[in-house]
Amino acid sequence: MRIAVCIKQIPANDTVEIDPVTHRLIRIDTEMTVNPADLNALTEAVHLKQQTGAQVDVYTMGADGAKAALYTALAIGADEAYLVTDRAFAGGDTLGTAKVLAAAMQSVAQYDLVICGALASDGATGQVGAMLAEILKIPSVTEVKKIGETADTSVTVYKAWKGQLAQLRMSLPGLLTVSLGANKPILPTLRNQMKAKKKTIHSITNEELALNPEEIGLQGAKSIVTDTYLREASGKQSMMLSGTAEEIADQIVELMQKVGE
Amino acid sequence: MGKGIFIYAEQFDQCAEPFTAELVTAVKQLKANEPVTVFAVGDETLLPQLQWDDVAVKVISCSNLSAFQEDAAAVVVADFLKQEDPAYVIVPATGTAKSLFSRVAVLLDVGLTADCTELSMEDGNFIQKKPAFGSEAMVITEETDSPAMVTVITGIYPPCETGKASSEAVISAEAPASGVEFISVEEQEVDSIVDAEYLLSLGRGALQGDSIDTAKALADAMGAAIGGTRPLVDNGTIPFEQQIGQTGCTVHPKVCLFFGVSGAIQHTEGVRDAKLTVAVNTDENAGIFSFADYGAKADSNEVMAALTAKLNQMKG
Repeated sequence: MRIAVCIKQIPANDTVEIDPVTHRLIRIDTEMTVNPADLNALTEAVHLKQQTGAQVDVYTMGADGAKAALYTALAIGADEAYLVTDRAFAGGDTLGTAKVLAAAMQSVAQYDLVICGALASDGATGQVGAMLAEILKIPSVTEVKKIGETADTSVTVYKAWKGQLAQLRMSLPGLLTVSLGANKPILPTLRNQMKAKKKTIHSITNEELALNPEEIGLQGAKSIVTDTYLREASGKQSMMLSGTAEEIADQIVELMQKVGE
Repeated sequence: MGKGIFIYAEQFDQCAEPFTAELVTAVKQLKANEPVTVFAVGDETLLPQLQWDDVAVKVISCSNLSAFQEDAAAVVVADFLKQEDPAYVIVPATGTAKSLFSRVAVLLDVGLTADCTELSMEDGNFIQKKPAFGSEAMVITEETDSPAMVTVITGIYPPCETGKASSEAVISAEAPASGVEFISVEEQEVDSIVDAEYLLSLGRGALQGDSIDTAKALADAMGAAIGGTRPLVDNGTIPFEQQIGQTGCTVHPKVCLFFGVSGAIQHTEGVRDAKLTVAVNTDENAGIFSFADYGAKADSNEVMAALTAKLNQMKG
């Protein structure tokens, strides 16, 4: 079995400012991290590797800095890492991103299973996985909590649905998106991090993929941001309570009693 | 450019989801000079559940399609939309609908704008406001293709009162084979915070040592549910189902107490219509103090402990 995992590097911090002229978001803190749900996705893939001897390839789309996320993935247990990188890919919407990732995977191998995080903590559209599946013309189950029995031609999965768990069987090749918190992410050991650093990261650019630049990246974006603004301050000010913790607690109880009446 | 506004009505076991009525309000408020149609995939028993004045209802009847078969359902929905050629498609921003319409977007080769909080029509242009996630910013988006497809966060617009549909139709369709087979549903215990009357919302500032236990004791004493901000979910303190805000749940509690919550808009956006909000934070400049009705500059753990003691003492 050959598994592809898609990961995304996101800012570790939420703080942004808006450029008054271009109205673009400026990240204030540029410390980057691997999207938490993607670590859950990668962990599921590595568990499958341990059970079935599958090969796990990891993909990310981004600039050179995104290599850090791939080294983390290699240290966690991925076998090969692919950086999908080109100026033509930048600034795309979810559909453009899915087209590029699909083409990149197809240029490397025919995967039995593609696993993505269910949603990115920064972008949070949760769309790329399902789009990728449709482009690859394979079935998908999103928001998976647990992977059950795996055979050559199918996989049993559990999906969170309305406070219940739906048990589904998906034929392979197929795609899963794994929910945040689905498992305890594997932490890379220092030794594995050192080993990962020695591995080669493969680059895939549009020279190899030859996608039409009008259909991907900023040019191909069909959902476009026309303006950005910081939320205006509400002007509201909380009525401040003071005193010791006990006195504050007393006042909160009184307030709650008034509402309860 | 197509014509009309189509609203997707999600259903499970032939029960239409109640939030469809919210999307009807969102669309009626556009005051667009376009016919409005609600559509669902299911059977004719959905028709009486999808009745609003001046809104047509169409059900795509597909006997060989079961729940969770998004690969096959996407083909059916995309074929229907190609036939109907609407100008706009409005979809609830639920996990299942987003997965389905992500696939539909690929089949129609159009964009899908996610998680809008406000729809409007300005000078004949359909525009959406949505939060730029992970930031205090809002963005305004437009689509360059037809149909313009957007998902709208539920729990924002009030539900439209039911009425009488302007027309009804059942359209038969044949679904292609799906690679997904439904086996069973089992109950799972997840505390739902969506319907909680009393809610504790925890932020990074409340995270010290065993503070989650302090919070749990308070929740027990209050009969409250626990929710929190993204950092607490990211580090595993609370499950994703308990995340409040734009990437998690929208909640409508009677009382919401915030402990150590900075007040980032992506969190406070998820708390709506509370009768009482009180925030405790050691940082007097925390943004939450321009959101909550009452505030206290104090240590979250101390106040949580004092409040628990007080409530337990009152119960005797």
